[in-house]
Formats: sequence, C-alpha cells, structure tokens
Amino acid sequence: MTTAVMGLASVGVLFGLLFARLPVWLALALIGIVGNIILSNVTVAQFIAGSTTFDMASKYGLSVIPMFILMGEIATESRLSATLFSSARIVLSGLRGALSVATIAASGAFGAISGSSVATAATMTRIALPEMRKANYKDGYSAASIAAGGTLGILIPPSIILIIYGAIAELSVPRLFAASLIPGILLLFLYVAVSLVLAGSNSGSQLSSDHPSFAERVKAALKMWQFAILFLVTIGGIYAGVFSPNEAAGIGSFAAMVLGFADGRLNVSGLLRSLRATAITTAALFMIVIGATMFANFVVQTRLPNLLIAATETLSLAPLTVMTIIILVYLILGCFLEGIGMVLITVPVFLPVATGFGYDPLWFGIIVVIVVELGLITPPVGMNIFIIQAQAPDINLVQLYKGIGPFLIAPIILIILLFLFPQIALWLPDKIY
Amino acid sequence: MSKLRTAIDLIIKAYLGVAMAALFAMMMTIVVDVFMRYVFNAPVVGAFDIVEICLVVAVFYSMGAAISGFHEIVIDLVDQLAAKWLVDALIRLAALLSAAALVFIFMSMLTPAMQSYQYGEMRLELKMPVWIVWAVALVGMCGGLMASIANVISPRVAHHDELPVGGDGQ
Repeated sequence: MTTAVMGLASVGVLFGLLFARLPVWLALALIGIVGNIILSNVTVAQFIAGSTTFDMASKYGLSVIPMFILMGEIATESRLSATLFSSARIVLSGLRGALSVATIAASGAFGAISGSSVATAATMTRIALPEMRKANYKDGYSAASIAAGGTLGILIPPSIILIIYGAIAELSVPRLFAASLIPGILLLFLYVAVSLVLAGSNSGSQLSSDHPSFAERVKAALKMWQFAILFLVTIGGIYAGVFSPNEAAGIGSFAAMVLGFADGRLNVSGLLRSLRATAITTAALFMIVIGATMFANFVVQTRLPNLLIAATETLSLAPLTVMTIIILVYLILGCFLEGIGMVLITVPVFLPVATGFGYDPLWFGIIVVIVVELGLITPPVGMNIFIIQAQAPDINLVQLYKGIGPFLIAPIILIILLFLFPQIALWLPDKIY
Repeated sequence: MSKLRTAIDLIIKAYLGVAMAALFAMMMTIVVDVFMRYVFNAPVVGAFDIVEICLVVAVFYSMGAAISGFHEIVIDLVDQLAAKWLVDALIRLAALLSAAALVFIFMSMLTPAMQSYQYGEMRLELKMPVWIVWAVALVGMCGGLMASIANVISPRVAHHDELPVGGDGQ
C-alpha cells in the first residue's frame, strides 16, 4: 500500500470513527497518532503529539478565538440581540415580511459581534419566533428566516471558522476578515430578497399594522449604538490597522462587558456565566484544532493532496470542474458533518488542490465558509435547524425543512457570483492591505 | 463509584474556575497593554507572554469540563438509528479511547517539558523558565484525563440546556 493510498484509507477510517460517535477531536487525533506511528515510529508520533498540543495551546495568534467567543457570550448575556431585533422591526415596519427581514438583519448584526451561527440562531429563536407567531407568520417561514439569518454569523467578520481556516492555511486574519465582509453583506441582502419574495407570494407574513413615523424609525435605529460601538472598535479597528485581531477581540470583550454593566443588563453572575461558556467552548474548539493538526501532519506526509492533484491532471480536468467537484463534496459532507470539523478535516486535503489549480487561498476560504453555512441549514443534520427545533419543539421538522428550501438558493447564488467575480472577495483585502 | 465521580467533578469545577480566571486575565492584559501603549507609549512588559500563558491555562484547565459535560463536538446520527445499549457502549468506548489518547499526549509532552528544563529555555519578555508553563499545561491536562476516566466508569450525558450556545464557531 502506497503512503498516498494509506492517506486516502485514513479518511475513510476517520468517517467511520465519526459515525461511531467518537468526538471529532478524538477521531482526528487517533488517526494522526496511529498514522504517524505506522508511517514513522512511536518516537516521531510522540514528538508530533507533544509539540503540537503545546504549540497550539500557546499560540498567541489563536488567543483571538477565546476573546471573540467571550465578546459574543457577553453580548448574548446582555441581551444585545433583543435590542437589535426590536430596533430592526421598528425601522422595517410596514414592509410585508418585516419581522422576517428584521430577524435576518438583526442576525447579521448580531453575527458580526458573536461570530457564531448557533448562538445567533439560538437567541433569535427566543426573541423573534414568538413575535412572528403573534403576527401569524407560518412556522416554517419564521424558523427558516432564523436559521438562514443565523448562518450569517460565520461569514460576517469576526468569524471563528475563518480564524481557524487562517491558522491552517497560514493566512492573515485581517485579510480574511476583509475578504468576507462584502460576501457577508451580499448574502444578507440575498436572504432578505428571498424573504421578501416568500412574503410577497403569500406563503409568509401579514402586512404589519404598525406605522411608526420617520422620527420613531430614526430613534429606533439609534438604539443600536452599542452594536455600532462594538463593531467599530473590533472590525473597524482591525480594518483601520489600529488593532491587531487579538487586541480588537480583547478590547471588544472588555467594551461589551463595560456596556453591559453600564446599561444594567449584565451583572457579575452573567459575566461568570459568559466566562464559563467561553472556557468550555474554547477547550472544545482547541481540542479539535489540536487533533486536526495531528491529522493534517499525517495527511501531508502521506502526500494525499499530491495524489489528488496528479489524478485530476491525469483526467485532464479543468480547474472549474475540480472546484465544482470540491464544492459538491463539501455540500454532501455538510449534510452530515458539523462545520469546524469539516473545515479541519478537508482543508489540509483540498486547499493544496485548489491553490494548485491557481485559485486564491483567500477566495477559497470564503467559498469554504459559505458551503459550511449551507451545511448548517441543509437537512438532515443542519445544526441551526436542530437548535431552533430544540427550543421550539412544537415546530414540525418537515415544515421546517420545507421552509428552509428557498433560502438555500441565496448561498448558492453567492457561490456562483464568487466564481464569476472573484473580486467580490478579493477586492477589499487588496485595497486595504 | 459515585463518590469518585463527585470528587472528580469537584476537581474539574475548580479547574474550570482557574480557566475562567485565565480568560479574564487575558482580556485585561490586552486592554491594559493597548491602553498603556496608546496613551503613555509604555506597553506592558511581558504582555505577549502573559496572553500566551493565559491561553495555555484557559485551554488545558477547561478541557476536563468540556469532556465531563460532553461538550465535545460529536456526530450523533447513530443515536437515532441504533439501540440505546449500543449508543451507551459507543459513549463508553469513546471515553476509553479519549483517556488512552490523552495519556499518550500527556506522555508525549513529558519529553519536551523535561528538555525545556534541562536546556534552561526562557520566555523572552517575562524571563520566566518555559518548563513552568509546560508543568502548568501537564497539570491542567490531568483534568481532561480524570474527566475521561469518570466518563468510562459512570457516564453522565449533559442535559441539552446545559450546553453553552455561543461562540462555538459555527
């Protein structure tokens, strides 16, 4: 058995372990450890396991992950999402499907702070779903708006998945954040368009009876000042070159804490809950990053990416065909795997193939995040769907699946646009840096 | 068995408290460093090292809580397809393999930790021996190991509402 075939077989074994309910970090670490023992010897495997674990957990660049998570947790604890939603519903009042659009807009804004799709979907379910039910929106449509809006959290910067992608691909986080901003905003508008079309075609909402004045709308918009401050301090600070991503994340967490306390919406026990959730999530994420690094180390040694490139060259496949195949693989995997695991398992294999065919790694990162987003709302596994169902168990899953269908069009359109116009992702980073 | 589980849970809770303190310290270090740099042009000496050490503490000391509370990311499709006894067996098997993997990683970390001690490796800014950070990491890792062992002897699946919803990166 050649080493490349061994690499390919290890991917199969990995999926076997994942479906046998092994935690993602453990499956990755086991394949990495055992693979390195087979390829080299126990001493080499020990050297890789020991140094990888310590290096990853003490990497200054990765301290950005817990800090952005903490900012999101504090914002969640401070119920910032509730303010965003109530402001958005007043600003958009009078529009058919206004509550759905407000949910998507508030999700996009909250995602810009939390960096987490699941957190956004979970909080929006609690806040927006009861309001949409009161307005007689259909459950499928309401839940689908929340699920789709929630996915914006991982594309609009700061995005934890992009930070992890940057660590694997050795790319600058500020450049990745710059690359994801325009596609993120574009996706938000595409979701809004889908929502409006659905509302107009009568499968959605009633026309709101509230008609606030222009002054009331401006006043409502101004209530989002806390969000504006956090966004300006963090993402604005990074884009302007004032802060490094780590500094922006730390200051963003601190600002969220100060704003929460000043506003009386955060107390000490709330802060402790945020720290607790952040610590646990950080450990869970770093364990995956450590396991994936061991796995990636093994995969690189097997030269599996080289085998794949050689195979595509032998078959004389065009770059576009190769990318289409990669995206299809992601879409299929996305139906069964969760996002971070998918990125960490596949990027070491697919990134060299994509760059080998001349695609920009920055652009590829954005494509990967969008397909991961699709995975979050694609049946049967779509994490956001389950998060919503867990909090609103009376919503029929079939109804939810039917509702989500039209929203899947938006990210697919965005992927097509990114293929046609790669500058959507590449223009801003080239302009700023 | 339940006394052992309770004792392990207490230790893991204390470890988690340490990790939470490290996260808070990391945030404050960054804020003070940036403030001092921009306002007084005098950055905090060793801020870089402190952040890295806090990260080590935050990761290793919360590992136990993540494992013990089943907060690791798992593909649980099999739960709907297989019998309960099989799912329980798979959970125990995962806990056993988790303990084995952590023991291997722990043993693997001993050699570089000892080399760091023998060669007198130092943190550049804090002038602190690096072996201390290795030792802190190894002690923290014991929490993960204890949690895995506790899950083997008496698995306790977390309730859904106990799960942290935010910042999972998705």
